[in-house]
Amino acid sequence: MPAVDRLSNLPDVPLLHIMSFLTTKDVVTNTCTLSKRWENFWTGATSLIFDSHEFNDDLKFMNFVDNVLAKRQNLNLDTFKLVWNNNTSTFEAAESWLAHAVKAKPRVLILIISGDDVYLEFSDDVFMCESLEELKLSTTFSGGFYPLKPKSVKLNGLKKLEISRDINLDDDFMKKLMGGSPILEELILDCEFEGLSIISSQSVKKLILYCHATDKFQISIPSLLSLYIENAVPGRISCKNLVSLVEACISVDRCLYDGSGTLLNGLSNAEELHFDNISSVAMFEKELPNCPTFYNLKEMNCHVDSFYPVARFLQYAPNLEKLTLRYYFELKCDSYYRHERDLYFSCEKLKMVEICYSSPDAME
Amino acid sequence: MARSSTENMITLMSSDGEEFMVTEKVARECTTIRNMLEDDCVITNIPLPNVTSDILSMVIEYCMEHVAAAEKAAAETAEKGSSSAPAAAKANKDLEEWDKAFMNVDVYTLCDLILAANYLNVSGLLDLTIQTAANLIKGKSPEQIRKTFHIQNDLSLEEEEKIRSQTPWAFEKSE
Repeated sequence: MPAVDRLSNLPDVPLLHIMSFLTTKDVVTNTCTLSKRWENFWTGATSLIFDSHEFNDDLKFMNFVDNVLAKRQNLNLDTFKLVWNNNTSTFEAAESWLAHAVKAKPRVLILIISGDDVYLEFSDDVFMCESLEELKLSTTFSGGFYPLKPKSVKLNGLKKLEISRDINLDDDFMKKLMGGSPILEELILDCEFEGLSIISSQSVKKLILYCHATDKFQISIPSLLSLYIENAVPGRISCKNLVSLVEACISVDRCLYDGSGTLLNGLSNAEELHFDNISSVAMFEKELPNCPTFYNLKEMNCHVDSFYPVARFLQYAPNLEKLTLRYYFELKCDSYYRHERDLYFSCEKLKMVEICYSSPDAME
Repeated sequence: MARSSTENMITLMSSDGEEFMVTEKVARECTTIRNMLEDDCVITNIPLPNVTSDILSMVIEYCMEHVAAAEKAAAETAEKGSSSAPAAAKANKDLEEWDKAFMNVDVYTLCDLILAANYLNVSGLLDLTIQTAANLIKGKSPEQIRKTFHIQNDLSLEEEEKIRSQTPWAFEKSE
């Protein structure tokens, strides 16, 4: 077969699409000397991915980004991603790069920033960038948590937002965010929630929360279909108005009650519930007495060390069809037996019970 | 929306004159063809002057596999009333394995598939082929990329040197 260069002969659109899976360093350095076709091809890139880990010092990295931004064609961007582990004393350069990126109306903006003694204050422009469908902010600063304080938020196209690491979200930001992003569907939060009392939205369908703090707050999202909470602290988190909820997956860190809890109570519309560790049992004990019947619940998946709390739960789940129990330890019979004998439940629609065992050794 | 009928057969004709009979459902995986069918619902014969028979048969194979997988998943959901997460995960994994095996092709075929997927607008196949091509370039030196894709270097040594001297910031050693 004759050596035909099919790659270079591809039209620009699919070829640029291929380049969008590579870092900009990879694209520029390794393609601009391939042949004449490729010499300036990178200047039309519609995705820019800069990662300081590809450079051995900040100056070379900054020089690279400055040059790419200065020489690229003035096209709108699909994606702008900046990963910068900054060892210099200032983020001035990043501020100008961000201004450039926002002007190019990106659909996706991903900023993963870390630094010692310096932090990057995300400019108001970022929160006014109406072309954005997806925004991810992740920062690691040695100086503690950093609040997001935009003057206002206008992200009319935003569908997915992810905020993680050393960022603190308070009520003021949350209120601006929810007011300014009317079609936001997916919210992933793995940050601090100091000064946050409520996550309330009319549009969010999927919420993923990694809890670190134990301040009390409430989730009130009538549009929510899917809820995932890791390290939930029942007694501190409560759910309300989750009228559309289909599935929830909760892993409990520890329970801190100074009154009655309303986490479980708020999940009572779900069709599918997963409790991902055995601490959930403590939540059952405390919260079930205040729970309504889980009429919609068809499937439950639970990590347990005893059947007793599950049996208690089943009293509230008359329409359950499938139950999966995961035992991590040997079944405790003695101490619970007395309770179990007195416990009645009726699940007429139950079709399948799956029981999985794993030994304590396997857990390590 | 046009009435969907799984029984309707469509004939696709490749650039080299070969005819392929496919169900309308399979043909609709190609957004380009779907748009034609929606504009003119009596059309049953579609010439595809940009796609050769060997590439078209691969595109059809891909579409049939993905339609079959989607139908199987829908049937299981209907049967059990709800989808079972482990079964769905396994079906997804099987399809991923199938995709992976399907991508075991030489770079000529890969590039022709990209062209065809781009022209016929088969988004799943386009993503798959584009990602496969990107993986062949990722982290590779210009020499390696030229070798993999048989790229003829039409730059003279002087021209190559000039590019390097004009863009020194792109060639600073990172080690």
